[in-house]
Amino acid sequence: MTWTVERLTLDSPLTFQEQIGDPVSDFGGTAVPAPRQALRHSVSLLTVNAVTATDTVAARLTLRRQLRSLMNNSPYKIGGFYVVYSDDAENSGWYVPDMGQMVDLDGSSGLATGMWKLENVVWRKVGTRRTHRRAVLTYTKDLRTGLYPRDYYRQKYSTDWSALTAAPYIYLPPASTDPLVNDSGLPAVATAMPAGWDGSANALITSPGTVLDQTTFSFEEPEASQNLGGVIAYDRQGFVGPFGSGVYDTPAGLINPQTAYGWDEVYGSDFPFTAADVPVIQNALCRCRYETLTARPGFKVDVWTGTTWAEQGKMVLQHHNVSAGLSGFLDTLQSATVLEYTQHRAVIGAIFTSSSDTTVRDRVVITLERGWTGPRFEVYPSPQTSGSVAGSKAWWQLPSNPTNSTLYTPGTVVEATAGEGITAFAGSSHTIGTENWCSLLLQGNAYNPSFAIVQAGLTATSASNGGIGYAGGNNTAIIDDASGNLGYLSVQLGFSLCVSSQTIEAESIKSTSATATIISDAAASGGQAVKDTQTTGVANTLLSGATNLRAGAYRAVVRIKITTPASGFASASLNSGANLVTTGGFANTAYVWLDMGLATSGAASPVNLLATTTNSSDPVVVDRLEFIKAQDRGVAGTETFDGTQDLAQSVLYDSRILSTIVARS
Amino acid sequence: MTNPPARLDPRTYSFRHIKPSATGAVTVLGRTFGFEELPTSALPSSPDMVSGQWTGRLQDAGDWQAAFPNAMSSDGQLWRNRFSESGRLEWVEIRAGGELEMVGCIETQTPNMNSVTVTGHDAWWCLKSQYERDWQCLQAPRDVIERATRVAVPTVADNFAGTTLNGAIWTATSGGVHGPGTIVVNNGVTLTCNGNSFVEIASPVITSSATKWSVSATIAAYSASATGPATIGIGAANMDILLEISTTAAATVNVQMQDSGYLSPSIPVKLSAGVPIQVLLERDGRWLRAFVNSQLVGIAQAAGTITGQQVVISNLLTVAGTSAITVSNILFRTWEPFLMRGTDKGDYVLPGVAATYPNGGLHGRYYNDLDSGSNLALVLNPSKDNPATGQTAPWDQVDPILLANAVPAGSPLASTNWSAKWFGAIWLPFATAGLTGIAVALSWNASTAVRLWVGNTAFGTQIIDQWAFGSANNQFVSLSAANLQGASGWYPIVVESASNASSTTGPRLVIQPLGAGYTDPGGTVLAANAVITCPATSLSPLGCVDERYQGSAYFDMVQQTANAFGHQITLEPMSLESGVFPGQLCPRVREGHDTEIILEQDTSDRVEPIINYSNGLDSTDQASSLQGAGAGIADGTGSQLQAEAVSTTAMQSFLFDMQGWVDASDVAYEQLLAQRVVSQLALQTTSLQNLTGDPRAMERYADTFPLTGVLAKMRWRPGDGVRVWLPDVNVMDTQTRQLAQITRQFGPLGRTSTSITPGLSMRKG
Repeated sequence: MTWTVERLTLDSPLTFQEQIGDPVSDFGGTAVPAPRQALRHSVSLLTVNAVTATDTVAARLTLRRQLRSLMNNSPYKIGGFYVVYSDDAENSGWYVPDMGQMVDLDGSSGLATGMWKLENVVWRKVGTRRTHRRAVLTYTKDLRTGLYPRDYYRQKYSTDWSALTAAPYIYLPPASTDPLVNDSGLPAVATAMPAGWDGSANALITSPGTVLDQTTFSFEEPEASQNLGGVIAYDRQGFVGPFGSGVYDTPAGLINPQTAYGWDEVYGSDFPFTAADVPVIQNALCRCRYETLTARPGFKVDVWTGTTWAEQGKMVLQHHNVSAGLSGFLDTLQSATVLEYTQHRAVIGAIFTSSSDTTVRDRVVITLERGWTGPRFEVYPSPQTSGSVAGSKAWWQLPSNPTNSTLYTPGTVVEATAGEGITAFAGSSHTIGTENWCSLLLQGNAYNPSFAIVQAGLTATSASNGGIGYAGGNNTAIIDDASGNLGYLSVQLGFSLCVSSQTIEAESIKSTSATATIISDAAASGGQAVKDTQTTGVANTLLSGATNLRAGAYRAVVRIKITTPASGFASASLNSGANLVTTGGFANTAYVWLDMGLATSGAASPVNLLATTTNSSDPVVVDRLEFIKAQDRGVAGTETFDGTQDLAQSVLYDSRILSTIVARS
Repeated sequence: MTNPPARLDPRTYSFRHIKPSATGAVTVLGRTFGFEELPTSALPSSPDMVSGQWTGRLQDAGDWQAAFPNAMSSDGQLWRNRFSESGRLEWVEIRAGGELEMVGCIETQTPNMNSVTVTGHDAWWCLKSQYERDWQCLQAPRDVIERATRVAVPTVADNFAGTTLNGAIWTATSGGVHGPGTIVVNNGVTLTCNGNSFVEIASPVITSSATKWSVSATIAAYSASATGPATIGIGAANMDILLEISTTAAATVNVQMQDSGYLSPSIPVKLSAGVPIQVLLERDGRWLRAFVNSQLVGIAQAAGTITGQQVVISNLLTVAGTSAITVSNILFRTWEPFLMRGTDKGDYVLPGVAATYPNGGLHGRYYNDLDSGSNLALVLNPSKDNPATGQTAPWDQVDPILLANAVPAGSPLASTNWSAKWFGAIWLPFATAGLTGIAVALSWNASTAVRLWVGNTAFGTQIIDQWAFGSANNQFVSLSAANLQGASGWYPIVVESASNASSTTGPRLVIQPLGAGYTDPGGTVLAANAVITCPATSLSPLGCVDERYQGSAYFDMVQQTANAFGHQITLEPMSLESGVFPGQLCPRVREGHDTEIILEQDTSDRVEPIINYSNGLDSTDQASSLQGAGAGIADGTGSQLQAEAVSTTAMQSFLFDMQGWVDASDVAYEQLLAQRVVSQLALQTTSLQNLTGDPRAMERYADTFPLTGVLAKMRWRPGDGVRVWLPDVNVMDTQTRQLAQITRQFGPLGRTSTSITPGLSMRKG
């Protein structure tokens, strides 16, 4: 028998006094209506676990801490706590508790017994499922206008990227049905997102005409889904793992870290956080955890694959103080806390200093919302000693190098490994100038990471330094305030499913054209390439069968060259029936990455490449094709919106949801 | 209401402290502003903002206040040391759920043992610190309001303290063909010429494009001959506007105003020993005026756009001898756009319907120009409206049409060398089906100069500008929904003409509906594409502000003008980064919009609730007849305008004739006075209903009313309309009523209450 408030489960109340009816007033001898009041139920609770086997003193003290953090989280409270009262299901519903007193049960030995009583607290019942529907209130600010802050501490207003498309993303809780735009009475179209760690799938609404700021979306939802798919914050209590041989999921499947690892769920700022650790935050799709065991301290991010949490890499942050020539890594944690918590959004704050630079004291903010595939990292570097603002650097390092890696920055250059005689990024920087993102394409990996930014003036750098996030010189993408004077850095990570057809070796799909032949080429990835001598577009050079690309839009790049002498000019045309047609020209005798632009592909469409040269004695040579998923919006109802542009467009809105309810009409 | 509103509102409040900052990114009135996000905390033990409230009002300024603990905030600053109430330099932005609700100026702060309370008003209140010195106004009411949203900014100000010339303000030049003079600073600057010499100090180039500015200075001492004047004024790349001062006799200086090609007559000004001379040179849009010791010494039309302007003080002597001028202080001010500096300029159309303004022609005002002859720089100057300056009083009448009018019969004006202004309103029904535009035109003879304004009547916006003699012509200007915002209605119009010695007639005003015809308010049918003399039935003598402002606060000018012409107005707060911080004050035919929302008793979660409501009915100012007194001297002989309106229906139903009085000394026109009295009586025959209450008033999207299916955000701003359904207090609206005032109270966790007191007042019936 339990009293479950949001995610916190206590034993049944000692007392539960249900108030019924509205107040009535007197005017003389006449009964007249009094102002309506909320139903005020008086409840007394004990910090006791309902399961006797686990009802230890330590567990009771944990409950007290969690209850305190929950009750002192007023912004969360004002949106209504959902209470499941197992003894009396008719009284389950949304409550807003008043203030109360936590009393030592026997007057003296609370700390020894863990027995505390939250006594006669008024719990205002604001709705039940029979009278109300769960709802969310949107907070969607178009950051391109320059009228709303782009950062957590509300310091950065700008119109950077104002010419780009932006999209508000609203994630409704799992199992929501009959979504309604309450303001208009119009049904809303929500797309189910991939299922997450707890088996639940949030639903995304992103139609710009529907998702307006301060709109109310109401929906039906089974009580069992009330607490699923949301954000959870943990204080790890010193249990930082690794747990078993996997990342954090041994045994595989649904593991509750609170019971399996001894992590405590935290529901607000008022919690005695474990020193020298940063609270973990996770939603159903990803988890961000502070990690100090491998190389420099940083934040590892795991993605839920459907069966396991899979480590995708590590974010290491660095102070970038250009004018003073200092660049200390943020390697010394001073303090950390939960700045904000509801089940829709959690924000972690941490203060870091640097062991190599005594001028560094940077604030780091990590935000995770319901439905996000990765966290957002924000860094507020401490000023330089001169008082001028400083910069920051974010290193995202891979746990290991895949067969091929590509760092793609729109409008600039493709940075890739393998096939170029190296196994790791050689390292070069490119300004992120055309669109507000860059992305890694990792051949053979399950997921590709993308990096979305909200400021202009940043660079994307490929690197393979050892000892950053991991001991080895793994490939790394660096998002850098190269000028060192922006005073702020924001990088939002996103992870999209990677399929094999996103990286295709030319020799694997050579057509039967008489002019096309497979050649050995040490400079080509896999040691082979396809040569074509045709001077007019008679036959496709490459011809794939059906690919496993998801329907969507892709940035397509081709690794290509012409042979010596360099008198010729070659062109390539990428096509797939009517869906995908892009063309580019070049005259390079060493392999170059030819950006074919944004192309759309239907599900299972073939990919064909028509390569020609102006001189048949200077044949064109194709090494491989790559497709960076920009938008996963190909087929209505099955979109995942996890492409790089999807992510980048979403960060140009500050999209949040706030809990509320509406009366049934 | 289509669906129930949300019940829980977890949006939090935030404060942004706006203040001058060297590293800020936004410039307002020449100052660079930055901001600091004030800490707020949701923790129960927070040392940050405790509570606050703001009030927005229709037709009046809003206000705000906030309370903080008299302690150290969570970011380590003492609340009592954080703010400055001085100089209107510090502001706060109050946001709910990230959405801007109020931009308030910090005007008071009151720390006590427990708390620090900070209060202020919105930016409209700043206009109480701006005064109109002397302005003869003949403009559209919207233009008057726009003018009154500007504020004076000191661009150059120096009292020459100490003994060194301020190098940040002045650059000295001396010599040239006349040899060097000397500059001495000793709590004043003295420019001395010994023999044939020249000396000047000049400010940096001023980038302001303001067309209202003034240079005022105190000349502490002056000695010179007539052969080389000292000057104070504006030196510009393309012209000089200067006050020239020279001496011809003891205790007398001669002063002349120089405006490029124009040099005013030399005016001798008597000096008293030891008494400094106060000089003022001002440009006010079209006119340039100079004063010495408050005596007008020159007036002329300012010539064109000034570029590269600098404030200069110079002294020149072209013969042997000595001359010196000592200036103890100088101030150059420009009147810069402040509360209407965005693209939104409010509504050009006059509020009301066809019957709001009487038709019958334009108000004509004729001037005798024999004194100025054909000098167009002097005709129609403001002194002609003031007989005290020695000018012949202008002659006023209503002219049904403009068709080569001659000077009015019976007037004392000469038949040539005259000028005139015709003003009022013109009916332009842009919303007529099929109408693609309306062309208006003037035609004139070779000895007449003309100008025409429609809608926007500020100088510089004339749509026909032939202010020169020499060629007969006609000019059509096509007005359309695009350039006048598309509303059908009365638009202010001003026509000016000047006739020289060869002309006895003024211009012809022509109108041509384009694409479709229409019937004007007087019943005249204007056929599509027909070119006709604009009929009297399309013209009204009312519609412009015809008033002289002296010592009027800009706040009052905005408020009174809006009230007089029926404009609705409220300060719309705008954020620092909007480009129009701290807000926009734009007169409109209608502020806000009508929504489908119905405020009801809080009986269930399905309604938009209002609590603590009351419906007061008040007949204390009820009347069945109203007497109105307009402009003029109450000498009992007809010098003062009088008008009376009577409601016989009300009179018969009341116990006796309940009389009222309208004091309208600002109204100088009989028809307008009568109209005001009639409209006022229409209000006062019924009781005043004062409906107040506390709605929950959470922002959301709502349909319009009547329903159109178009949703818009209902922000609960002054001017928005709702219906009220409270049968228990006898209120059952079938039409919307506007919010006249709304007060939001809040804490860091969110909104604690909303009041609309007296936000829903209206006349019963």
